[in-house]
Amino acid sequence: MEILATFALSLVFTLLIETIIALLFGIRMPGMKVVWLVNTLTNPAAVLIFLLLSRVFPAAPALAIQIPIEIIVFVTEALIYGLWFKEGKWGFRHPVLLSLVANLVSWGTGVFVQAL
Amino acid sequence: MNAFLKRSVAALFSLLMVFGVCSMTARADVIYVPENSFFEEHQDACSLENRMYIANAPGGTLTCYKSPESSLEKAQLKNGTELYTAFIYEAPSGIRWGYCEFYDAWYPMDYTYAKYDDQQFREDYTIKEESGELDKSYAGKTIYFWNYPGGEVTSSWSISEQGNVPMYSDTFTDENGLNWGFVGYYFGRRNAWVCLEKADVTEEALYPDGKPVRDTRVIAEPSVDVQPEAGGQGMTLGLILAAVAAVMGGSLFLLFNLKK
Repeated sequence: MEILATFALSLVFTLLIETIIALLFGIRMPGMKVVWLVNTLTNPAAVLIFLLLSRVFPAAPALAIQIPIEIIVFVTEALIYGLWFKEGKWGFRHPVLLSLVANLVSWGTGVFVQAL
Repeated sequence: MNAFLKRSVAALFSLLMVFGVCSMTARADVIYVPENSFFEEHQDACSLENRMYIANAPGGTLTCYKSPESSLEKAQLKNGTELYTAFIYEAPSGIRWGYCEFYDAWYPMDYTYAKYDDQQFREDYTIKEESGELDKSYAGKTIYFWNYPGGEVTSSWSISEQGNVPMYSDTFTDENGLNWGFVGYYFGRRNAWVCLEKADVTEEALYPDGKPVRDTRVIAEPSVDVQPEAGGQGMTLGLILAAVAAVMGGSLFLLFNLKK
């Protein structure tokens, strides 16, 4: 149950933050569904990879594991936003910027909260 | 207030609400990892250890957990890995769990053995209670401190010309007839030994033919199976992978449908 809580809370926090960022980028329904689904696609995988790598490399700094994962997530989301929703369909006019800002803010939020 | 500013203010306010309700540790993207509070909740059952242990688990790998009652694995350490064990928790079942701050994880003490140190040395050899101070002829010289007689030099110190020499509380005479003094504290050095006759001699010079073998223990690989106590076995890695794959698959399917 504890592991489920880890995945669930990570996803909830990510969805909450990225929804806010998407709103700022002018994305509404049905585009917002895309944002939710994309993050449901990437966040559990990111959490799983982080947990696995933390076990394999227990002495590695968390950031050394997080940053490569975040880069992969950013690229994946940017590709989905950009390639799947061309020509700004459903408000995705700046897919790379959206992915970058959304992931930076969600990542930064996590780091900030951990530091509290 | 224009639309951009409204959105910015709304975003900032929302983020502040998120920070306010986030009482749990989270990492990005956000990757949530609960804080380890097991020690705070079980202080009465924990004892201070502050001793180096060495991993020695069945199968060659020591699994370390978030807590003795959690199935969340924090680390997989190869046998031989050194663990500075700060605390030991004794569970109601009698199983003892050690905590290593470096890995922020708990592990069964049955799957470790103590690194040979002064404590083990005192169990193996006869130590005399005899106090005194190092000869003042060492004033102005550099002396060496050892973890135990014939062990390893852990630090050195240059004694001032005024001769503020360390005091010892116990002594030991080794197989070469050298006398050693146990120094409880000296300028930040704790629980160290000095060779009274050759305090300023390096490790290599004191034992040109090799140091005496102190650790003669035979360490067998344990066979007992120790798992976290409560919380059951938890989800296996396979189940977790399947669950994540299912969620990702479902998301991809719905994304494809939306794209149509």
